[in-house]
Amino acid sequence: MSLVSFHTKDQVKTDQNLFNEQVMPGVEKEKELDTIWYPYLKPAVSAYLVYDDTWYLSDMSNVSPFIFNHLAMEATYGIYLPITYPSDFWVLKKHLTLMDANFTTDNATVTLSMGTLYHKYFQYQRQFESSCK
Amino acid sequence: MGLIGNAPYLSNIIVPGQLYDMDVYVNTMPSRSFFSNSDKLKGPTQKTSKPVWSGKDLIYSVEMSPLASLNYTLPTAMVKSVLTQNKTIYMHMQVHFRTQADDPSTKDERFL
Repeated sequence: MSLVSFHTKDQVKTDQNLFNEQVMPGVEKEKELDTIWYPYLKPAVSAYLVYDDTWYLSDMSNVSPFIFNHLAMEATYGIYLPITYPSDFWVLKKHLTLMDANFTTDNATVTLSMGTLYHKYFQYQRQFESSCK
Repeated sequence: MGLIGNAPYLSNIIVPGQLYDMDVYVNTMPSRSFFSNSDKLKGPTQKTSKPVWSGKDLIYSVEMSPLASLNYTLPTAMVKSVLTQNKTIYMHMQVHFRTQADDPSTKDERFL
Protein backbone atom coordinates (compact mmCIF):
# COMPACT_ATOMS: atom_id res chain seq x y z
CA MET A 1 0.00 0.00 0.00
CA SER A 2 1.27 3.42 -0.89
CA LEU A 3 1.57 6.00 1.85
CA VAL A 4 1.88 8.77 -0.70
CA SER A 5 -0.70 9.67 -3.30
CA PHE A 6 -0.46 12.22 -6.05
CA HIS A 7 -3.12 14.82 -6.66
CA THR A 8 -3.49 18.27 -8.08
CA LYS A 9 -4.19 21.00 -5.58
CA ASP A 10 -7.69 21.34 -6.98
CA GLN A 11 -8.44 17.77 -6.08
CA VAL A 12 -7.44 18.22 -2.46
CA LYS A 13 -9.73 20.88 -1.18
CA THR A 14 -10.40 21.85 2.35
CA ASP A 15 -13.81 22.74 3.66
CA GLN A 16 -15.34 25.52 1.66
CA ASN A 17 -17.75 28.26 2.46
CA LEU A 18 -20.53 27.77 -0.03
CA PHE A 19 -21.55 31.44 0.21
CA ASN A 20 -18.19 32.42 -1.25
CA GLU A 21 -18.82 30.20 -4.23
CA GLN A 22 -21.97 32.05 -5.27
CA VAL A 23 -21.71 33.53 -8.71
CA MET A 24 -24.06 36.06 -10.18
CA PRO A 25 -26.15 34.66 -13.01
CA GLY A 26 -24.56 35.33 -16.34
CA VAL A 27 -21.16 36.00 -14.83
CA GLU A 28 -18.64 33.27 -15.39
CA LYS A 29 -16.05 32.96 -12.73
CA GLU A 30 -12.54 32.57 -13.97
CA LYS A 31 -10.91 29.43 -12.75
CA GLU A 32 -7.31 28.50 -13.15
CA LEU A 33 -6.70 24.85 -13.78
CA ASP A 34 -3.92 23.30 -11.77
CA THR A 35 -2.30 20.60 -13.83
CA ILE A 36 0.66 19.89 -11.57
CA TRP A 37 0.49 16.75 -9.52
CA TYR A 38 1.90 16.97 -6.03
CA PRO A 39 2.74 14.21 -3.56
CA TYR A 40 0.48 14.03 -0.53
CA LEU A 41 1.16 12.00 2.56
CA LYS A 42 -1.61 9.99 4.12
CA PRO A 43 -1.67 10.80 7.84
CA ALA A 44 -3.13 7.46 8.86
CA VAL A 45 -3.56 4.00 7.44
CA SER A 46 -5.01 0.84 8.87
CA ALA A 47 -3.97 -2.75 8.48
CA TYR A 48 -6.13 -5.68 9.41
CA LEU A 49 -5.75 -9.40 9.77
CA VAL A 50 -8.89 -11.10 8.56
CA TYR A 51 -9.83 -14.13 10.55
CA ASP A 52 -11.97 -16.77 8.97
CA ASP A 53 -12.88 -20.27 10.00
CA THR A 54 -15.12 -20.95 7.03
CA TRP A 55 -14.72 -24.26 5.27
CA TYR A 56 -14.68 -23.54 1.57
CA LEU A 57 -15.55 -26.03 -1.11
CA SER A 58 -12.61 -27.23 -3.17
CA ASP A 59 -14.21 -25.80 -6.31
CA MET A 60 -14.39 -22.43 -4.51
CA SER A 61 -18.04 -22.12 -5.38
CA ASN A 62 -19.02 -20.83 -1.96
CA VAL A 63 -16.33 -18.14 -1.74
CA SER A 64 -17.44 -14.55 -1.93
CA PRO A 65 -15.89 -12.67 -4.87
CA PHE A 66 -14.76 -10.03 -2.41
CA ILE A 67 -12.73 -12.63 -0.52
CA PHE A 68 -11.68 -14.80 -3.43
CA ASN A 69 -9.13 -12.32 -4.76
CA HIS A 70 -7.39 -12.22 -1.41
CA LEU A 71 -7.04 -15.93 -0.90
CA ALA A 72 -3.57 -17.32 -1.42
CA MET A 73 -2.60 -20.91 -0.93
CA GLU A 74 0.51 -22.18 0.76
CA ALA A 75 1.22 -25.44 -0.99
CA THR A 76 3.83 -26.69 1.45
CA TYR A 77 1.50 -26.65 4.40
CA GLY A 78 -1.69 -27.11 2.43
CA ILE A 79 -3.37 -24.12 3.93
CA TYR A 80 -4.45 -20.63 3.09
CA LEU A 81 -2.26 -17.74 4.06
CA PRO A 82 -3.81 -15.17 6.34
CA ILE A 83 -5.51 -12.28 4.61
CA THR A 84 -3.86 -9.00 5.35
CA TYR A 85 -5.92 -6.01 4.46
CA PRO A 86 -4.38 -2.55 4.35
CA SER A 87 -6.87 0.25 4.01
CA ASP A 88 -6.86 4.00 3.59
CA PHE A 89 -10.52 4.17 2.79
CA TRP A 90 -11.39 6.44 5.70
CA VAL A 91 -8.64 8.96 4.97
CA LEU A 92 -10.32 11.94 3.37
CA LYS A 93 -8.52 13.96 0.74
CA LYS A 94 -8.78 17.09 2.83
CA HIS A 95 -6.70 15.37 5.52
CA LEU A 96 -3.79 14.66 3.20
CA THR A 97 -0.55 16.50 3.90
CA LEU A 98 1.13 18.24 1.00
CA MET A 99 4.76 17.24 0.59
CA ASP A 100 6.57 20.24 -0.81
CA ALA A 101 9.57 22.34 0.11
CA ASN A 102 7.80 23.45 3.30
CA PHE A 103 7.27 19.89 4.41
CA THR A 104 8.96 19.24 7.74
CA THR A 105 9.49 16.16 9.82
CA ASP A 106 6.81 17.42 12.18
CA ASN A 107 4.30 16.55 9.48
CA ALA A 108 5.94 13.28 8.51
CA THR A 109 4.15 11.15 11.03
CA VAL A 110 1.88 8.37 9.89
CA THR A 111 -0.40 6.65 12.33
CA LEU A 112 -0.42 2.91 11.73
CA SER A 113 -3.35 1.11 13.22
CA MET A 114 -3.55 -2.64 13.39
CA GLY A 115 -6.54 -4.73 14.06
CA THR A 116 -8.46 -7.82 13.16
CA LEU A 117 -11.58 -8.14 11.08
CA TYR A 118 -14.13 -10.87 10.91
CA HIS A 119 -14.34 -12.11 7.34
CA LYS A 120 -17.99 -11.08 7.00
CA TYR A 121 -17.15 -7.51 8.00
CA PHE A 122 -14.19 -7.60 5.62
CA GLN A 123 -16.52 -8.72 2.86
CA TYR A 124 -18.96 -5.90 3.58
CA GLN A 125 -16.14 -3.39 3.75
CA ARG A 126 -14.77 -4.45 0.37
CA GLN A 127 -18.26 -4.31 -1.07
CA PHE A 128 -18.76 -0.82 0.32
CA GLU A 129 -15.43 0.36 -1.07
CA SER A 130 -16.25 -1.05 -4.48
CA SER A 131 -19.55 0.78 -4.55
CA CYS A 132 -17.85 4.06 -3.70
CA LYS A 133 -15.30 3.91 -6.48
CA MET B 1 -6.27 -26.02 9.48
CA GLY B 2 -7.68 -27.17 6.22
CA LEU B 3 -5.85 -29.40 3.83
CA ILE B 4 -5.34 -28.99 0.13
CA GLY B 5 -5.27 -31.96 -2.16
CA ASN B 6 -7.94 -34.56 -1.83
CA ALA B 7 -9.69 -32.75 0.96
CA PRO B 8 -13.17 -31.80 -0.23
CA TYR B 9 -13.21 -28.66 1.85
CA LEU B 10 -10.62 -25.98 2.33
CA SER B 11 -10.36 -23.65 5.24
CA ASN B 12 -8.72 -20.41 6.08
CA ILE B 13 -6.23 -20.54 8.86
CA ILE B 14 -6.89 -17.44 10.88
CA VAL B 15 -9.27 -18.08 13.67
CA PRO B 16 -9.90 -16.10 16.84
CA GLY B 17 -7.54 -16.99 19.61
CA GLN B 18 -4.45 -17.61 17.54
CA LEU B 19 -1.52 -15.31 18.08
CA TYR B 20 0.14 -13.24 15.43
CA ASP B 21 2.90 -10.74 15.12
CA MET B 22 3.04 -8.34 12.27
CA ASP B 23 6.06 -6.68 10.75
CA VAL B 24 5.55 -3.50 8.82
CA TYR B 25 8.12 -2.46 6.27
CA VAL B 26 8.16 1.07 4.98
CA ASN B 27 10.26 1.71 1.92
CA THR B 28 10.25 3.09 -1.58
CA MET B 29 9.95 -0.25 -3.34
CA PRO B 30 6.57 -1.32 -4.69
CA SER B 31 7.37 -5.00 -4.87
CA ARG B 32 7.26 -7.23 -1.86
CA SER B 33 9.53 -9.84 -3.40
CA PHE B 34 12.60 -8.08 -2.12
CA PHE B 35 11.99 -9.59 1.30
CA SER B 36 13.46 -12.88 0.20
CA ASN B 37 16.80 -11.52 -0.95
CA SER B 38 17.47 -8.59 1.28
CA ASP B 39 18.56 -8.10 4.81
CA LYS B 40 15.67 -7.95 7.15
CA LEU B 41 15.94 -5.66 10.08
CA LYS B 42 13.70 -6.05 13.05
CA GLY B 43 13.24 -3.58 15.78
CA PRO B 44 11.82 -4.09 19.21
CA THR B 45 8.09 -4.44 19.40
CA GLN B 46 6.22 -1.28 18.49
CA LYS B 47 9.37 0.71 17.97
CA THR B 48 10.93 1.77 14.76
CA SER B 49 14.29 0.41 13.78
CA LYS B 50 17.32 1.88 12.14
CA PRO B 51 17.42 2.01 8.38
CA VAL B 52 19.35 -0.52 6.39
CA TRP B 53 20.67 -0.03 2.92
CA SER B 54 19.63 -2.77 0.57
CA GLY B 55 20.87 -2.17 -2.92
CA LYS B 56 18.88 0.76 -4.21
CA ASP B 57 16.54 1.74 -1.47
CA LEU B 58 16.41 2.29 2.19
CA ILE B 59 14.30 -0.18 4.06
CA TYR B 60 12.78 0.57 7.39
CA SER B 61 10.88 -1.89 9.43
CA VAL B 62 8.50 -1.64 12.29
CA GLU B 63 7.59 -4.66 14.30
CA MET B 64 4.31 -4.58 16.06
CA SER B 65 1.54 -6.86 17.05
CA PRO B 66 -2.06 -6.81 15.87
CA LEU B 67 -4.46 -4.70 17.90
CA ALA B 68 -1.73 -2.12 18.29
CA SER B 69 -1.15 1.28 16.81
CA LEU B 70 1.77 3.61 16.63
CA ASN B 71 2.83 6.91 15.19
CA TYR B 72 5.63 6.35 12.73
CA THR B 73 7.70 9.29 11.63
CA LEU B 74 9.05 8.91 8.14
CA PRO B 75 12.83 9.23 7.93
CA THR B 76 14.18 12.39 6.38
CA ALA B 77 15.97 10.50 3.61
CA MET B 78 12.74 8.87 2.57
CA VAL B 79 10.93 12.18 2.46
CA LYS B 80 13.71 13.61 0.32
CA SER B 81 13.41 10.74 -2.11
CA VAL B 82 9.78 11.69 -2.62
CA LEU B 83 10.53 15.35 -3.07
CA THR B 84 13.58 15.04 -5.28
CA GLN B 85 13.06 11.78 -7.14
CA ASN B 86 9.26 11.64 -7.29
CA LYS B 87 9.32 8.32 -5.54
CA THR B 88 6.45 7.11 -3.47
CA ILE B 89 6.47 5.36 -0.14
CA TYR B 90 5.02 1.93 0.34
CA MET B 91 3.98 -0.02 3.36
CA HIS B 92 4.42 -3.78 3.31
CA MET B 93 3.21 -6.20 5.88
CA GLN B 94 4.52 -9.53 7.01
CA VAL B 95 2.73 -11.78 9.41
CA HIS B 96 4.29 -14.23 11.80
CA PHE B 97 1.84 -16.60 13.30
CA ARG B 98 2.68 -18.75 16.23
CA THR B 99 2.01 -22.40 16.16
CA GLN B 100 2.26 -22.71 19.92
CA ALA B 101 0.57 -20.04 21.92
CA ASP B 102 2.64 -20.72 25.02
CA ASP B 103 5.94 -20.44 23.22
CA PRO B 104 6.34 -17.02 21.63
CA SER B 105 9.67 -18.04 20.16
CA THR B 106 7.93 -20.58 17.98
CA LYS B 107 7.13 -18.66 14.89
CA ASP B 108 6.39 -19.70 11.40
CA GLU B 109 7.40 -16.91 9.10
CA ARG B 110 5.68 -16.51 5.82
CA PHE B 111 5.79 -13.68 3.41
CA LEU B 112 2.62 -12.02 2.34
